Amino acid sequence: MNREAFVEAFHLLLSLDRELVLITFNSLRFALASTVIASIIATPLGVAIALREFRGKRFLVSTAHTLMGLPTVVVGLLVFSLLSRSGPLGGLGLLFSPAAVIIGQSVLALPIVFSLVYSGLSRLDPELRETLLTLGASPLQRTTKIIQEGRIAVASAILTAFGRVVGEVGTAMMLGGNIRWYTRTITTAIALETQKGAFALSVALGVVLLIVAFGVNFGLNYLIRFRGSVA
Amino acid sequence: MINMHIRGVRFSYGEPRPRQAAGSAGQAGQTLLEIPHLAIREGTISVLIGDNGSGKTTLLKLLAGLLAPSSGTIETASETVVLVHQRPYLFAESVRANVTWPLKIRRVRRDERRDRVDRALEQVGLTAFARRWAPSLSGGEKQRVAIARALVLQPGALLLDEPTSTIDAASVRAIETVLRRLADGGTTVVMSTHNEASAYRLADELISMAGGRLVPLRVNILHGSALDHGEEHIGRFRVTDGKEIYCPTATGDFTRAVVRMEDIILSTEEMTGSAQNHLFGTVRAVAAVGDELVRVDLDCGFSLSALVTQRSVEELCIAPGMQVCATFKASAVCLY
Repeated sequence: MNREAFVEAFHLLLSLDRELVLITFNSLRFALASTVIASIIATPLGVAIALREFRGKRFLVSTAHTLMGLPTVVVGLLVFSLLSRSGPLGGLGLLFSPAAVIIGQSVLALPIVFSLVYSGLSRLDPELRETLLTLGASPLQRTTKIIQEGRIAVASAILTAFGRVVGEVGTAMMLGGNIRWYTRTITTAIALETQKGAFALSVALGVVLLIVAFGVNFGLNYLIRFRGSVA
Repeated sequence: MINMHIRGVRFSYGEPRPRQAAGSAGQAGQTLLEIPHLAIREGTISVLIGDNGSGKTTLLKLLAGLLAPSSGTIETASETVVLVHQRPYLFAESVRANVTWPLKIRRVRRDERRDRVDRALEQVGLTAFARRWAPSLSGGEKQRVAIARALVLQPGALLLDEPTSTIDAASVRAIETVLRRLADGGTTVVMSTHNEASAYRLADELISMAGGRLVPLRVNILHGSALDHGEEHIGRFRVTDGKEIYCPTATGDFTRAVVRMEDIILSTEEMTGSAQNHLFGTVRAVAAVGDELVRVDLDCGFSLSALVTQRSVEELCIAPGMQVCATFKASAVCLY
């Protein structure tokens, strides 16, 4: 890799190169979609389990906690085996499509959102639940209010999940196949384009990814430091 | 009229519930509370006193319906019963939003909502705080917001767990005034407290608890007013029924005189000594309290009870209908 690559990367960034923009857009689109799907499923689940006592809860929670560190290639393999032609969902023809990437990344994000929502909400004052009961709130009103009170925890859970999927390469590669203009994401492009000698694009994409990652972490820090104390 | 009626209530945790601390850690099967009978009159202030772990919080949570009794019944005449916790949880939003929320979830109309919230904030003296961020308030202010958030529902009964434990003296008085006004307006108030002065000043009914049970009170609480002692070196307190007793000189707006039952000496004739209070009265009842003590209830123009030993009762042959003299020092009287 030489000096020219950096100059060209800088040029790509400044000129908003079409390929660069599309790859970035794909990455953000997939990560956003999978985070939204995972949040829709995992947030109510995290809330429900934080608010209930039942046998096996500890086991469930620690399992979910362990799954937060799920290797991306294992998720890729798992979803691949479901979506491949011979797999149970092979008929849908989803493999190597944006949908496949989104499914894989959702699986990755699910335990993250669940675990962080759960632990955030179970740290809320136990008197909150009684307060809502004594003020006569219905179960739905109670749940809504608890999410509202734990909004910082929920928001950080979602941001953390987004940060994880936007930067992962395993599932995007295995399920998307790094198809140009279609399923190529920042991470798969960097991983494969570098090998092909396309350093400039890789460097430019690396910069974009760093900006996204910093943005997410900055947002998280802001939530925790400036709003966390009042949550 | 009775607002709340407890009959044969026992409470124990069926299973240990780690996150549900009701004052003390619940152990499976252990009876935390046992109250055969308790009636709370409407429009009065009942004050629960007792040490930590005596069951005050558990009783309040039972009355609020947050805990269900293991056996027995609790009848409540009021439709709305609200509990204000010791360290109330305020929502992370403005004071106004906090107080509005109970009405919002009941779909009360917007203009009515505003009126009721304004009134509740005014009742607790927090009108100027409406736009403040609730979690940033001081302990006393938070307590008052929580009371306003309960009042906005116009509850028939308001329950408060140690409302004055974590706050400054000025806020204590402010909250006492609010509660007195509420009770006078017909709301039934039940609160627990460690603060004896607060308890004596406020209570229409004092309920003493220990180890999860009701225990008889060991003090006489006389309602009335302290008289101006002027140049005298002794104070006087006029009991509501007209009689006066001697008490320490003190200036202030005192309405309660408290005399411990152990501090009262009974005799068949007037005793000569340094004690200033000599009251003749008729024995109304004699009842054993534990193994060695006997409680003697007297009528000396007002009700007065003395706690004496079994042996004294036998020696003096105290029995209902008998005339006795109750003697106690002026300094044994505490004014509140």
